[in-house]
Amino acid sequence: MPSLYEILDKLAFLAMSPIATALALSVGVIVLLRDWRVSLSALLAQYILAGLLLTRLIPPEIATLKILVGGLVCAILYLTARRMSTARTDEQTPGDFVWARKLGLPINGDFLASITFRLLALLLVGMAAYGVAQSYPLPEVPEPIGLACYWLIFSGLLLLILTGEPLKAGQGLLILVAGFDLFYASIENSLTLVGLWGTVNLLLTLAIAYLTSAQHAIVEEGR
Amino acid sequence: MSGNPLFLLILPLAGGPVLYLLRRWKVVALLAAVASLAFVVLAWQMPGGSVALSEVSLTLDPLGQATLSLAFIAGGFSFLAAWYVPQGRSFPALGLLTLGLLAAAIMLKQLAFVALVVEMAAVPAVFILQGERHGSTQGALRFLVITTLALPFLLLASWRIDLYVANVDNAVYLGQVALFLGIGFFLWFALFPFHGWIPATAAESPPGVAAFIYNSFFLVGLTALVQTIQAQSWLADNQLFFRALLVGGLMTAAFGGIAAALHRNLSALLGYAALSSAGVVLVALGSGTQLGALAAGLEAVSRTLALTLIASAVASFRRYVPGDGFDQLGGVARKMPFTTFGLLVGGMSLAGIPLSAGFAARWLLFRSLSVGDYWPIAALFLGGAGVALGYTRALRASLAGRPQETGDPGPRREPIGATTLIVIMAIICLAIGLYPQPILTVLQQVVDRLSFLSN
Repeated sequence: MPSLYEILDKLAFLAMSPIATALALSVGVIVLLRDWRVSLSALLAQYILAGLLLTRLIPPEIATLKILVGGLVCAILYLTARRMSTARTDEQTPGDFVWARKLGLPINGDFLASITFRLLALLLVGMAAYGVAQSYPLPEVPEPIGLACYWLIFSGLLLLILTGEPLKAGQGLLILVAGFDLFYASIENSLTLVGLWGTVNLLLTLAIAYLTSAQHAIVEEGR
Repeated sequence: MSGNPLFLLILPLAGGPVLYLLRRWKVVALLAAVASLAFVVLAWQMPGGSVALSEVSLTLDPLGQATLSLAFIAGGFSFLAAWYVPQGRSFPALGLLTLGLLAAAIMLKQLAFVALVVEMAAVPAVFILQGERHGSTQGALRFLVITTLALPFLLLASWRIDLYVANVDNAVYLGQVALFLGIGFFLWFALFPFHGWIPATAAESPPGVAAFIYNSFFLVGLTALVQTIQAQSWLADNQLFFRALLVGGLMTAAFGGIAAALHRNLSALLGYAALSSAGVVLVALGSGTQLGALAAGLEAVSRTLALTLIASAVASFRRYVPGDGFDQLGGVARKMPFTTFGLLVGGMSLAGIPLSAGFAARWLLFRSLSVGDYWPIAALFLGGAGVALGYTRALRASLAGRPQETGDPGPRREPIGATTLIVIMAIICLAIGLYPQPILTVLQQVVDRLSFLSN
């Protein structure tokens, strides 16, 4: 059993890279919370933070381009999600907590059970990411960035496992792809590949938005 | 014009959006079919060659020509069938666009670019898989997820290949390349246990669209795999890689067959039969011999035709019976005898029953396997028997009972156009089974150029 000092020593990398820590937190928010406004804001933060991290490894122009692509991805998803939420504004869950309803918060018994489960799953994923990053450190990137890559990839996979809803699962897929990009961008410097990668991200988002709209149509038809 | 391989991707990529604007007209499917079949002629007559574009080069070689021709033939038949029995308004236009992107993937030789272009092709595929249907999105979403999951592995494999080429003394890269390629291609081919999107799309998407996606993406994956092994000759010496292909293929063939035997509707049967057949192709390729590669090529041809045929038959059925569950097919064979005949021929071909196109491929495959390899033969028999049992049950269900009344009674007779197409495809399937020599001659020319195969 490691002592408290050893644990703190192992967590020292958090101080080394506040951006990587903020990146991990933003992804945690996406996994934990269902509200699309919060999770899309966190996704945008994730793209910005990932771009900032990348400035240490690749030319800043390309990192800026990746942030712009991330911004476009979030804009497409925002427009889709807003359209979907307009149709759901009057939904009320019978089990809402009175105090939460008064504050306008979507908190009820299901929410608490779900967030507890997600938090535990996220902790497990965090430990797995840490373990893998220690056992198989990624070449060519500093340790905190390597850990951030694994964290993003594992969190994205967790989100894909947890939900079948296109918007949320799509965010999982985008997080996974962004996690891989954090590593791949540092090893591949072909401009054509960078361009294709950005195009793939945008097309992927279009497909997610389309599937979200199709799902939304089911909700509307069922009303 | 006919000498530049660029036309094989520019024309479909330009034609797709134009047809999309006209998608409300039914004739668009016919236009897409004509265009697709014209591209077959173009691909076949092209002398081959390379075009360099910035960092990438597009090369049309005999393998690419054969694959492109087959993909466009399957596309042409699918669009023609969709003209008679619509499979979604955007299918012909976006299908042509998908074929254009996949044509680019076939002609690109660098694995990283191939992987990215296939990922781009997956997006219009998602649109046509979902169609305008407001139902579950699980099939299309799973397809997108699995295809996207393959991307990082293939990009990593490409990166490691480059590193190995730069430093051939580092043998660590070899194992890593084989591992990344193995996982990436397993995901791409949707082999067991990554097959989730195949039954999901079979259940949810129009059958013509599902078969089109199974065919086109599988053919591109197969070409990319063969081209990668051919380009990296050292990979051919990695027995573990070929062993993984063989085992993955066997598991998929057997699992697909068992699942096909257990399901009780034509859509699920189509999906699992396609899965089983994909396993057979990889077993044949995994044998690493010229005869095995010939069997893989012939199975790929017969599979493509059989899936298109079955999908056309199921689409026709769906217009005149309430659903494609076995309990809803009662008496449909008497109402639609030619369509039922087509379904049976396609099913028997996927199962590898004698006289069908699939049998010729299985025969070659069994000959390519080593004497004493009882387990592979048993697993392949199990897969084939499962698919055959599934289609026999479907036939029994369609012969028994009386035709059910639907809200839309439709015509009294089978529709002439769709039925003619089904009969033509069935005859082609049987002709290949009885006389596969012309196809084998073409395939032999392709196989002869693959230096990694043993005799």
